[in-house]
Amino acid sequence: MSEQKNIIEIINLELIKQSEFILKNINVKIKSNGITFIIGPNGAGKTQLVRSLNGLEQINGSIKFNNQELSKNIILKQSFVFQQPTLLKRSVIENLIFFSKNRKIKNHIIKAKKLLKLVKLENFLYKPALTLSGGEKQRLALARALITDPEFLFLDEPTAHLDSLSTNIIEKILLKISKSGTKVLFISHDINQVKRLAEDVIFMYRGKIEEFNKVINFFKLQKSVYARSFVEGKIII
Amino acid sequence: MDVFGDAFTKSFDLIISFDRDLIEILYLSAKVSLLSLLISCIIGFPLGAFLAICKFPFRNIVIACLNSLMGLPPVVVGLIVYLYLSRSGPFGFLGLLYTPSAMIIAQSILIIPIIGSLSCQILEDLDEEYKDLFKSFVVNRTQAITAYLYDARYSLFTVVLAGFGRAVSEVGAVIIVGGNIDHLTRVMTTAIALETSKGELSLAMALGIILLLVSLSVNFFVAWIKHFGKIKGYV
Repeated sequence: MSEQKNIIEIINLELIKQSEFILKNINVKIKSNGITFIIGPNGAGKTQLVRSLNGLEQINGSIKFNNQELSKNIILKQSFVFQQPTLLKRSVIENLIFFSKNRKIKNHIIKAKKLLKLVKLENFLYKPALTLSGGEKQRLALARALITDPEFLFLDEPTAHLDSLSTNIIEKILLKISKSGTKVLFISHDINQVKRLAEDVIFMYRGKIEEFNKVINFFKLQKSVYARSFVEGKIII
Repeated sequence: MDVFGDAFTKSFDLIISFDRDLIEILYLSAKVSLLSLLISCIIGFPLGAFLAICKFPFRNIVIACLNSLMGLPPVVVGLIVYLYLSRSGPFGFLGLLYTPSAMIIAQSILIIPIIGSLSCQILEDLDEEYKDLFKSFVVNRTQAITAYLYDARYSLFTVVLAGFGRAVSEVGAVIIVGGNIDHLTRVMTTAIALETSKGELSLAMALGIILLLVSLSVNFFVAWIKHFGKIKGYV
């Protein structure tokens, strides 16, 4: 086991939008090295939680990364793969180079090519990114997220609607980078994927964290009624 | 119909024979329109990008004002520029009245709101699409504006051509500040107005045909650019 690092601590987090609580009383400390999954029914606040961690939402409370309050410097160490990948209206390689150049990353073109090879897009370097298939777009978004060598990687259902090939490629890369020290937070609805990849699981319901546990313990016995219903595939309202 | 027939025949003769007066008028028209377009793009694009991206108090009012300025009456602009550039005006000492420079200034004032406002709308849509990504990657404002202008290049090109269309077909402002002086400030539109009033329809018609051709070419070019962007997958 590698040394513990990349600790995420959330204290009394609240997110209010249009006078409505989207997230309330979120308190959690994530210390594990592996991939942490965030699961829960639609509208549970999973995406909003991860967006808050990435500084995309105005929140109340405190979010700390390695005991440092969320700031621009912390966000520079993060990457986010959105559910619907936003791609620049440029070629595949330019989608990486724009960001790596802005961050002044050394040998950024070579690095971009390596990453595109990793996500199996090496044959599409100069193809317009918007003409890629859904799975290819998502793989490109992942490569782009990795170009900055993030310490924290957030993924919002990156494999939803993807074929098994793209899903497999993404999962392998995530396992590899989480082992090499990047803390991965992954939102998913795919229980089997959670079982395959997760180190621990956060279950959210109605803007709250109902349960946070090691994956083995979580699937052995769910403490929360809602989590049990969710795992059993029952509709929870 | 004979009048039209004669006018058409003479106008084609003028075009085919590369009539010197005609060429001179065309050259000045192109020069004035393109220079005013260039100035308008230099000012209009950053202005549009700034308004699209930066959030500040009364931003919507500023955008609404800019939109309203798209419909500026050219004669009023001509009159205001005239007052500023006339001998007794604040910039009279520059001696720009009745020169192509005055025409460029007037046309720029007319085109800047078009370029600024249309580009603002395009870039606002792009900002909506990119803002989370750029915020997530901590892309600064200058980098974002550069990216927006580059990624919206196909749409912005149509804005440029819209501006050119307005410039090349404008008559009210340039006739006031340019004075329609032969061999100095006579452009296509002012020449058409003058020749028509004199009853010299052949030159007017020749210029009219060229103006129509320019306008049609611009429209076809806009359509082609859009199509090219789409088939290339950049729009």
